[in-house]
Amino acid sequence: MLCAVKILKLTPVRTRLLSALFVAASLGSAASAREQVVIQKGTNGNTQLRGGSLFLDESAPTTTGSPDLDVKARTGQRQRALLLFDLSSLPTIGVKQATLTLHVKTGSPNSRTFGAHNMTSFWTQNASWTNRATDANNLTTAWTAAGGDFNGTATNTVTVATNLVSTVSFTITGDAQNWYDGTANYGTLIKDENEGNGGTTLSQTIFNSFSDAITTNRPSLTLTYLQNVQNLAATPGNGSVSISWTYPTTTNNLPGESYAGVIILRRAGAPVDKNSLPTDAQAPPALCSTIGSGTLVFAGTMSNTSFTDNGACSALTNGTQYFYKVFLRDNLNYYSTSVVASTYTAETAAVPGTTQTLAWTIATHSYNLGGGGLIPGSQMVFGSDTSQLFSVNLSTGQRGYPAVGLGGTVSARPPVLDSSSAANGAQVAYVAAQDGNVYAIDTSSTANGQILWLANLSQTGSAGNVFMGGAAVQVKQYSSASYTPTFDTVFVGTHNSSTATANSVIALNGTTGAVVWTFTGTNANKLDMVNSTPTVDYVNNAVWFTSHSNALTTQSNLWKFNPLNNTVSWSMNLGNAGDIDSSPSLTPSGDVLFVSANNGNLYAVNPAAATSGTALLATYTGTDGAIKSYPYIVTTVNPYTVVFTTGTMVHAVSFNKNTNTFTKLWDSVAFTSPSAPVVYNFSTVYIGTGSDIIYELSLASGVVTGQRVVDTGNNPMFIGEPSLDLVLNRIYVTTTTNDQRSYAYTVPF
Amino acid sequence: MPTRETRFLQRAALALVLCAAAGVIGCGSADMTPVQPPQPQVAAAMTVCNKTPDGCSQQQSFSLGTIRDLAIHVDWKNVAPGTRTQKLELLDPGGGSYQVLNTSFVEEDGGNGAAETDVLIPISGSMITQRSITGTWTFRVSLDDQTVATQSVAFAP
Repeated sequence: MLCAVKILKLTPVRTRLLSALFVAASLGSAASAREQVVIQKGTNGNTQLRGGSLFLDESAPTTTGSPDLDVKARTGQRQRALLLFDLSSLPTIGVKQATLTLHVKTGSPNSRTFGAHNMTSFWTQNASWTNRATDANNLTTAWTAAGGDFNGTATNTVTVATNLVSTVSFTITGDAQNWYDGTANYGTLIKDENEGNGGTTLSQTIFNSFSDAITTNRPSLTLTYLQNVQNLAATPGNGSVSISWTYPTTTNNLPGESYAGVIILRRAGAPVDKNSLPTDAQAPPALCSTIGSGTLVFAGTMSNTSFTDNGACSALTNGTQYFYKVFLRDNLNYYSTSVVASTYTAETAAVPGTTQTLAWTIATHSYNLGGGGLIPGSQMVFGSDTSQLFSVNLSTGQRGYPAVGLGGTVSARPPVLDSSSAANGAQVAYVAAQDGNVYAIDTSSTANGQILWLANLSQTGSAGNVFMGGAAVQVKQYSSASYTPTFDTVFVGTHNSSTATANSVIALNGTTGAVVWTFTGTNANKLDMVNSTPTVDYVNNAVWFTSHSNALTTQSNLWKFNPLNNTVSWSMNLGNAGDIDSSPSLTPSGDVLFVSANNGNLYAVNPAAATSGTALLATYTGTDGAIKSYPYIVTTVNPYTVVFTTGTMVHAVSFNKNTNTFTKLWDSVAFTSPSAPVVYNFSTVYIGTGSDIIYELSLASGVVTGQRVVDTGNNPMFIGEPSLDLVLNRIYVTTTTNDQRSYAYTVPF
Repeated sequence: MPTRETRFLQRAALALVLCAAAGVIGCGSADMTPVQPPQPQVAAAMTVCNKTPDGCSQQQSFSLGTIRDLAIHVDWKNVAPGTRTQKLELLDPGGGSYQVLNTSFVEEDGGNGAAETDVLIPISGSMITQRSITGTWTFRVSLDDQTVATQSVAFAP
């Protein structure tokens, strides 16, 4: 920034000195780093499946502006451009700089100031000045602020007369870093910073859009970044831990720059804090220095692909878990991180003196205890409080692509179908979110999280619906001949706290998102909130829901629906139980439905019963208060072993269908807030807890046979419901509080 | 006694410092314009209640056995004109971010700087009730990424 200052009588010496002073005052900190890439639709085969652009037009408020990107300041005729870049081609990087460049198609002769603003709401490619999204059933969702929901403070501004330049560039480094570090990527809005002061139409600038015929004229995002090491692994020894890694393939090097090696930070008992970062452009400090909560234990060159920690800086204690975070650095001492040690900074852990194995861990910067949906051996998909859906390669622990930004929190486990099973032929996850929408997302490595459709059910039946339970899917391929649709059907139940009688159950076409049928509670058949995931019954051709009952014993809490239409086969208040929050579980042969209730009882129900009057088979009266988990059915034939958790304990019971009797097998010792259980190999039970520990219990006795301490540094920390992978013999968990990671452990412990 | 050249350089350096400072607040013309009074500081006041079919009850402590959803009402004051985004975070007893909700609104030119928002956070059926995460939870509200206010609530069994 230069000011007009009157300086008298300049001599050559004085001129040179002043020039130096002004240059010094105006120098920024140009970020140089290892690699740089230009993300642009059509360049290097980049299809931008999840990206796009449009403009919002105040004078045509319900129309999507295209094909160009118009920006205008005039009152009542304001125009704003929206852009979203699909970053799937760079799923695991530490961003150092991000520059958004727009090409001018028609410029304004007046000097205007344009601002790049971070968007804060989900929108679709048919957004308009009034509406941010239109769903598969042509229902619209309005912006909360007409003209777009965005951060009112511009990330960057540029002042220019656009008829004098061919491009306008914005530095949006902070926004791009945040998209990798825990904030949903909803893209960027470009507007005139002096709207309302636009005078004549000469205030309008037209930029080229993603669909411009000339590829090089399309908007581009230039990212300067470092990658992370890959295949990071830790192997415990006696008083030692051996770390190994590989280096990424580099194709976008900046001239004269190269990766130079790694530094490794170590911490006992807890992961290195995400804010413990080496400083860019500074050489690594001395060995054994501390960087935040980590100790620098190794600094190596590119010839190093392993490091054995025999007690660098301080002896390792057998039985203590040590976490290692590995930063890749370049020859200018830039490190593979951004605002925080991003989700992609590689980290691992091991416990010397044991055989404990942590397969991998990644940071999500999100809070989710609901567990992930699995394609065993291949992929885990899970949601978060930050309105994002994550996809993780189960073998490597690497993200296949950056998280998908959705419109609301995802609190339940989403079902995932592989492409050979799904009727739509896609590797699809169905995600029910707290914005009242259900999303179908192609989670494959070719679609990289593309949203296939969304269904806005927030106003179905009653206004203000959200989803707390997940979606259930009836897969046509596995259904009997009586299932006549050509598509898979997705079932969800609404959580609407403003009504205890008029909540809804909705069936969607899994291929298109069209509503197939809706049931909304009535005075004759009151339906309170549904907080659980429904259960599809392929044997008895039904779909089961549990619900609240307005805390009454006279209102239904168990529902049997015909999956083909909105007919309620029957409903009942099961056992006078009142509210039910957990999902029902059906035996493989379909002969018993188990339901755990908030009153602490476990019920066995005949799913083939023609009426509710003959449905209840037996009741197990529990101890330790409300049952918190779904009933986990272990055995596949009668008698059935069922495991479930209450507020502080894990329980196992046996149910004999021949005699309709429950028998208690065992109650465990007390734990801090145990999660829902999973059972491996008919022998071991796994639970997360609120005390940083995953426990392994014997199915035969309920006795603790092993444990994994996840993170002792972020108390209190809760570990979520495990997901069980029988292909890789692992369990996966996510965590809360300041840990906010996902972990993979080999089982049995 | 400073030489003429020294005095010149001193004035130049002073001008440079003044320019650098002016660059922070906007370097306009050399004309002296009246200094505007500072913008009153943005302020926010939150109220939290348990939303049921019968209404919304404000409480100091909410029982996880009976709670449904929390409705958070925010009264804003001294908001500058333009589109603004409120970020409401719910922090768990350990300080971790449990949920983040963004709400945008428009403060019109010539308005009084006041605005209201209403946000609903589902609690029943969430991991809070399922895992009985009791204790003191904190709502933190920001405007365009600047933290403005916090409010604590207690969850009891």
